[in-house]
Amino acid sequence: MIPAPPGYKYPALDLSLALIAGDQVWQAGSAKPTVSERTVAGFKLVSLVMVLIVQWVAFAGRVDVFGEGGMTERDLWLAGIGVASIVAALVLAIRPIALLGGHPGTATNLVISVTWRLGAYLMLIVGTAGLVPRYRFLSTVPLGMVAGSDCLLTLWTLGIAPATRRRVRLFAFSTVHFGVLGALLATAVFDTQHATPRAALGAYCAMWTGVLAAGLTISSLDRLKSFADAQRADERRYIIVAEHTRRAHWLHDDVLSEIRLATLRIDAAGLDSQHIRGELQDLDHRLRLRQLDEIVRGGSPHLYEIIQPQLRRAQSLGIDLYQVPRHDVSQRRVDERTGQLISRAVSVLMSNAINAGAKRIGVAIRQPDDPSLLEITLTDDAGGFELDSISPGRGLATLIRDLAPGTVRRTDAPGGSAMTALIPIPTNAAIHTKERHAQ
Amino acid sequence: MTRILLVEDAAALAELFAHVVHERCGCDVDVCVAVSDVELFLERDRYDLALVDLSFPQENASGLDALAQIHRASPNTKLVIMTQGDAWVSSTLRDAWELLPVATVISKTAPLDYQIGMIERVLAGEDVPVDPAIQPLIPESRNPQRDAQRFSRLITHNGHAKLWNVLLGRRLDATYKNVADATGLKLNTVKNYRSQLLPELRVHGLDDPSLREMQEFAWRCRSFLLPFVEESLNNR
Repeated sequence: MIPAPPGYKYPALDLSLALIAGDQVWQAGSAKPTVSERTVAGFKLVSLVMVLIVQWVAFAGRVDVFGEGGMTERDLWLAGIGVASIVAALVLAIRPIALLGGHPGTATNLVISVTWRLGAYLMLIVGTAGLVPRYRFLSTVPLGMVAGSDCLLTLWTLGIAPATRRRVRLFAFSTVHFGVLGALLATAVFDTQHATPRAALGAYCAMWTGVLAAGLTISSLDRLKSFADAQRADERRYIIVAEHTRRAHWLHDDVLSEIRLATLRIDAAGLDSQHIRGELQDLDHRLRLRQLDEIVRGGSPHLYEIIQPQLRRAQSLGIDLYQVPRHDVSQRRVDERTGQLISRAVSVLMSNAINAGAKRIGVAIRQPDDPSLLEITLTDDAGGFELDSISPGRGLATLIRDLAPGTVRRTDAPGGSAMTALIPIPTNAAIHTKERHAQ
Repeated sequence: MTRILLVEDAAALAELFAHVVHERCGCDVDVCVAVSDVELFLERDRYDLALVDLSFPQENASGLDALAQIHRASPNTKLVIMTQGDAWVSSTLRDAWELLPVATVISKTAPLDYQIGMIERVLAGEDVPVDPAIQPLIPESRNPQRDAQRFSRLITHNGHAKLWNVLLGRRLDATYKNVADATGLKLNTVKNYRSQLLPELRVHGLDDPSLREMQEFAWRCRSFLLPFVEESLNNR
């Protein structure tokens, strides 16, 4: 791996542009937004609303809309600025609304994003400066909150630590800031009426209020995320310890006791090598079913993981598996409950065919036209039987009862039966979602 | 005599299995318990068939590395994968199946007679279907666009090589910032390089991957990617 070039410093202009461009430009992958990102997106939305409230309260205080003289030309100008501010706020609200809705979106073009976002922010600043007559420096607080939450989302997406104090300090000692100070000094020296310096000083104070509000927003929300991350890490550690303990117990209670049981059965019956092999095959199958339990409990098993123990069982019994589910279907993930149901259905149908003496078995999984169902078909050569004659209490009868009437069908197949079970599956939930890594 | 190389990290199991294969198929079987040792075996001998496991958790390598190495050194050696075939190895299995002329895949849990039968049929030059328990993990047909040479298209200029070289480092947390720092590229340049690679990454089954997913892919397929990265970096 190439090491970072010696003395490499992160280019300041590069980062400034990155921040102005916003987080969507740096969007990579389809991972859903994290809780922290959604929280900051919500905060940004609230801040945008606050900016508009401040502007329109100030506008209402300045303009007598229902007065005798009606609205003057100046009032109409101010109203126009207010409306333009609303449009700018709405445009800036699109991204946080998408994040809140769990949509990561796709990466956008840097130049286009910089252009429209710069325009929208300038419009909000002009709106606040134009509509708020007094205490402008206070009215920049919600503006700073909007910018702060926006910057934080981008910093997290890029994987950059906010380091707010350092950045504020850098700004204070930057050439841009000294330029502003110089201009302020120049107006104080050359403008004898002192009107321009007063206005410039107001704008300067407003700028610093906004910068500090943004800094406070970034550091507070980032600290909140750190607390949440630390808490989650603690919970994860606890879960890991509990899981190790559970597995150790599982090894003792399930695996070792199964091995003990098989050993006792072999010892007690004085079995020959062929029967011992059969015992070991049974043991192998039981342990695989327990392994499957663990996978299904994981919450989103693949279909192939669910059917594999049954395929392996049939294979170990010397049955010819002439058909197995296709790759495109079996890659699908299902939820825990559906996984258990499919596992049970395949197990019952497979046992039924094996007990009937099948020598060839085909297993197929298909998505029927109804997206709320999954169709599992197991075809065997074990001769036919009447589905209605199944005695109550048997695995197949219980499965039919649990899956609802009509969802398990039997049709004739060459030399045997084709049993089809329709399994209800959830259609609305995304089974497997990728959480964006915590930065 | 037919020679088989068995690459499997469970030493006791591998020795026993090698003994059975020797007895039943009449082949000489060498057992290699580490991917890092494959090179030594290949220097010493030529093999008619290589039986390779995919998972080597104790090593910084996978069976895909071993398979690629064997194929490069001895293109006539028949490649057979022997695997558990679970979710843990599914991506590696798919890559191996698509990128190399793998003759068949044997399930580690299949009955011994079945496994031996598959090996004998491969040695006899027959077309041997993948074990039924593994079939659901493998596409019905190989992606014709995807082969080892195709990785060259992931490095169309030196900047791409820099990006992949950094992503090949497994310890790096692949954020834009870290990748930009490690490559010395600007943030927007990293973003542009990623965007340029997206259409080609789709061929390898990655749809709009994050930098971390690209890193995972690079690590998994490093045997195919690294030669092109090194070539590009050495020629700059």
